[in-house]
Amino acid sequence: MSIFDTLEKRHHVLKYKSEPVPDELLKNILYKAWKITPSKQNCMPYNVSVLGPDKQKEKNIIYDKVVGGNKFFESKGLTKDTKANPKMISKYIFKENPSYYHVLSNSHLLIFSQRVAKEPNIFYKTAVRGNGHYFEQCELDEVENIAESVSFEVGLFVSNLTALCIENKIDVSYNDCYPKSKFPWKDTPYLWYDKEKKVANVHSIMSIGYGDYYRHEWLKKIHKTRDDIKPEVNEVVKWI
Amino acid sequence: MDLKLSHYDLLETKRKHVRKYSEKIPEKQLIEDALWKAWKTTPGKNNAMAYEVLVWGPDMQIYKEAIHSLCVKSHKAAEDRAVADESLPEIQKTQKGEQNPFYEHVKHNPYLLTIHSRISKPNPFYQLKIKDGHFYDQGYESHISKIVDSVAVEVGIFAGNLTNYLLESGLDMSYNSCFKRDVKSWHNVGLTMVKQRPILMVTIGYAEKYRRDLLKEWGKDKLDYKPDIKEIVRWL
Repeated sequence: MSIFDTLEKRHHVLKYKSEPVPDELLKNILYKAWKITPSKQNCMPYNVSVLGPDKQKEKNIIYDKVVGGNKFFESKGLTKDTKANPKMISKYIFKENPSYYHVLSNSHLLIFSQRVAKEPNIFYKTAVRGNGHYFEQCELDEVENIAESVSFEVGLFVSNLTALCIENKIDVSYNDCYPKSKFPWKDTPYLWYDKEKKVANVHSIMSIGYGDYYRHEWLKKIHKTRDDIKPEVNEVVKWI
Repeated sequence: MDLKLSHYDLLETKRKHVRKYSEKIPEKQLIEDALWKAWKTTPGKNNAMAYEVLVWGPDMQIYKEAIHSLCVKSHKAAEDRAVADESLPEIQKTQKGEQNPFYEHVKHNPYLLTIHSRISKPNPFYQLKIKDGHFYDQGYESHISKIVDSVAVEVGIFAGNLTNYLLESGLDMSYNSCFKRDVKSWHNVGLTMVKQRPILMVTIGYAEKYRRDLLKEWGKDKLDYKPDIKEIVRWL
């Protein structure tokens, strides 16, 4: 099967089956994703924290942050009135978004957060010493400056992990609705990049499991499949 | 090209950072097909795809040289910071002023992609959701820098997917994320067609020489390794 055919099978999951993905299988997939994902200066300045089936308490904490993030963004929506965001006309009542339930209920939940690297590898140590090369991934005060390129690298890892999961008939879903600030992570010490200040920079959240009910099925049920479309390819790809 | 390669085998054996591309220019159709497949299979928050991929083809050499100059300037600025840092030991305060040869692929390639932020419009589904109080942050110029980290994750997914399709077609490619990120710097070197913040560069062609070949020649291929998987993936 071509990779295109594989990736065409990726669908956002609204509900996972209760059957967990075997840890050994996921460990093997994560090893492969680690192995094939490149990184600037071979540094991989991020951590992938894996919450397995027995970590529901930790998943609840993350889910609460996602709901809080959603509430925060919608509160912004209420105050904006522009062409892109015309003022709402119906009475607003905050409701939890069912598209986020996969964060709460899944086989495994992965959280990608930034880390400060301990030291460069031997090749880059030589480059630093000999050529004034700057290995910014080791510097605590550069975390925010390099966040954008770390996000890109996380995306590469996510892309590879997704393809490997789907090849193994495992579903994945992503979430990007969580606090973007580094401060509201005091109750998740495993994500801190600065243990003294108890702060974290989360780049992505991804759930893994066997899908039971998918978002595209729900869209079909409510007759909205044709409304939830991507921009045309020529809006995204432009030949100069 | 063997289409039966698994995703892992394809990436493990075929993706290698290019030091130098050959003169052979890939057919435009191969690039268009790979870009279409990446567009089709890459998801986006709110289906917005709040980025645009600018394709600089074989006849755009003058622009590629301008873009390369933005990589060199950015690299030099980073090295200047290292040299100026008083906390670094004296031994690190050397600077030879040499250009990093591993950015050459940005200047000499058949195809260069630069990926930039883009202000998006909500689709009919999200237009309705906005009326229910949904905030479509990808629709605002003022939010471009606020959401750029989220968009960069999506760009990474797009680039990862694109990589698969390019490699499947027998092409080589390389990434670069070291460049000036303010649009003004791009305008200053004549790239006035660029309207939004750049996030990533990808080069495409047929490789003549890979970075790993050079490291091997220098006897340094074993020195440039990744952190151990236990440092990156942590099971709680």
